[in-house]
Amino acid sequence: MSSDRPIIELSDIEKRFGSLTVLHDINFDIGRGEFFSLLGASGCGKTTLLRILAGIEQPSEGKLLIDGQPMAGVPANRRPTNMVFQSYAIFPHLNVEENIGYGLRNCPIPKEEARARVAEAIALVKLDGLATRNAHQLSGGQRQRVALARALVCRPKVLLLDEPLSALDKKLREEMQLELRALQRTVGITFVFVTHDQEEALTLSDRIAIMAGGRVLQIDSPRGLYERPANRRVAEFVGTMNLLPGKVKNLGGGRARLDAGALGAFEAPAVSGVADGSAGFLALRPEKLVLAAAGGKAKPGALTGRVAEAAYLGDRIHYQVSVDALGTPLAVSVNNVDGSTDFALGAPVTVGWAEAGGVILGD
Amino acid sequence: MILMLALPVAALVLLSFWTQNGFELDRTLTVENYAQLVRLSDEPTIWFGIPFYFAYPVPAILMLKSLVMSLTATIAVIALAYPMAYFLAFRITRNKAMWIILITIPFWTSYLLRVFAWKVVLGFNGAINSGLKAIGIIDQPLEFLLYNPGAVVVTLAHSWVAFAILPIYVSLEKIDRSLLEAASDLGDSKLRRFLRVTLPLSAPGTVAAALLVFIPTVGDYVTPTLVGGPGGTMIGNLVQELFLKQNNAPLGAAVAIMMMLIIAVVVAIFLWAIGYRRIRARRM
Repeated sequence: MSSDRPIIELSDIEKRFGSLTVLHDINFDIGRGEFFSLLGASGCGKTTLLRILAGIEQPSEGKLLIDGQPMAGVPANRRPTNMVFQSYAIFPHLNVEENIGYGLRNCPIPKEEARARVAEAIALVKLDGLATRNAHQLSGGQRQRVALARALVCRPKVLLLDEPLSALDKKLREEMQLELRALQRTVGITFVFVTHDQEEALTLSDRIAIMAGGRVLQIDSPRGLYERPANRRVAEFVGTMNLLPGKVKNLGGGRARLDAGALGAFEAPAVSGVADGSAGFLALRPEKLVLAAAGGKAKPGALTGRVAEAAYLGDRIHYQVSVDALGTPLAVSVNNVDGSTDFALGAPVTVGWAEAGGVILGD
Repeated sequence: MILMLALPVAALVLLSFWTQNGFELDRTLTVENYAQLVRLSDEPTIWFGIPFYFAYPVPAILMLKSLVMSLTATIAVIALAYPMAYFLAFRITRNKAMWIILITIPFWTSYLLRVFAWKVVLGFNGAINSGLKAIGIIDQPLEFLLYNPGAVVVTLAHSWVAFAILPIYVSLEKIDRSLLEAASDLGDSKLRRFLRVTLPLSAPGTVAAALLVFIPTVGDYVTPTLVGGPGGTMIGNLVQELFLKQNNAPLGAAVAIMMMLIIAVVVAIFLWAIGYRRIRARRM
């Protein structure tokens, strides 16, 4: 098996439950050693897709290869994958050690080696001294570590994680994010991580697949998703995005012009696949916008409006600026540097941006 | 509540320390009844090759026999109830309540009627015999079906199955399905998963069901009276006989108290053995 072949290859995967289709047309690969996230709102099919990878669910259509091997008809217990369940699924009648060693009993390895590997896994997830603790005596974070160690001890080719951090409180979650990322670098196993928390996905992942309604909307690096979302749905899902609607004129060379009626016309880089003459949007992140008092020398292409709302966050100030020809107010986020960005409610302001700060995308 | 529970038992204990003197009840306190039960003799009474060195061996023999028959019935009940509870918990996804009601329908009739029904099924001219005769497998009715310990065990098992299904079902239903998925994910085949996860996690309900069946059946006397015949008598029959026919209520009370104590000890040993096994499994 050549090592540059993707570890997971999905082609034309479809999943139906009765008359309900929960996954459509899933086609992508996951590379070896990648930290890959499936990100979407609940009910978007991300967990179902993970369960198809694990072999707990079977796809209705399509082909799945893991490490080049077709997985049709291969049950969960014969797949080179292990899973960390959302509920952790710690066996309540076994202690920490027995839980972690559970899968090794199904491996043809001598007892001493199994013992050594359990001890190693316990050290890896920092559960030293808790080996004989019962499952019900563990805290949420400890249960999470047991589930992680139990899945890793079998040395799977792919580790599947189903929202493993969603049950933890915020502080512990952030701590575990860093640990998870470090762990993935240490063990070098491919991680497929399901989450509905976009911040978590952006922090952890090498690549993210955004899912909605059973379809994959875009697969890209965190930076790619944030800077160049493929369409309006991705733009709205990842972070906050201001969208100016209009008509697209393709200029070629990766650029386009958006005719936004009364607001004016804007030139900006365009994402691929934006059709000439179709409806589109100029997408602007709140932190790429610059506020200035109205009446000064407004940049060409800037919009004028009034401060409708201000939220002081300490390091930043969030403004909502209502612009006459625009239905929804613009979200603007400015650094709180020297007071030059303080504006009273109702103050007339201009909103500008560097030309490369916006991107033109389709619906 | 405690009074209602304790009063009859206290009366029974008191009675067991009196003696019957002809038609008179001698109210002086004595352990004579218990002494009579455990008095040894040099000549053993042999029952199924087991020597009983008792001067009055009937209670001891019937006690052992009752324990063996109840245990057999309990094992039969669990063997029948577990698959049904499993089916109910894991295979039925819709109309569970309806299935539970369906399973308990036979148990809406009286216990006595069900025992009589078995008499009809197993009897000389009963359903099994006439059925086998009709399809020409036998000429003469099979006489070994009714009036023996086997008939008692079958009838007891059937009578108690419904009571065993529910606790087992509840303990199976409580098992988190993600535990089963996790076991499969960690490489267990379906059989191994059952042995390593489902069975241990349903053990509390199964043990409860076994006790629920075992304890009352040891002392049962209706079933052995009706379908047991002379060979199928149990300890409950002796108690009934001593109280009503032989007019020796104090001895009957002593037998009943001994029975209670022995059942308590057997159950305690059983529970201890299970607990012990679990602790040992944990240490491994």
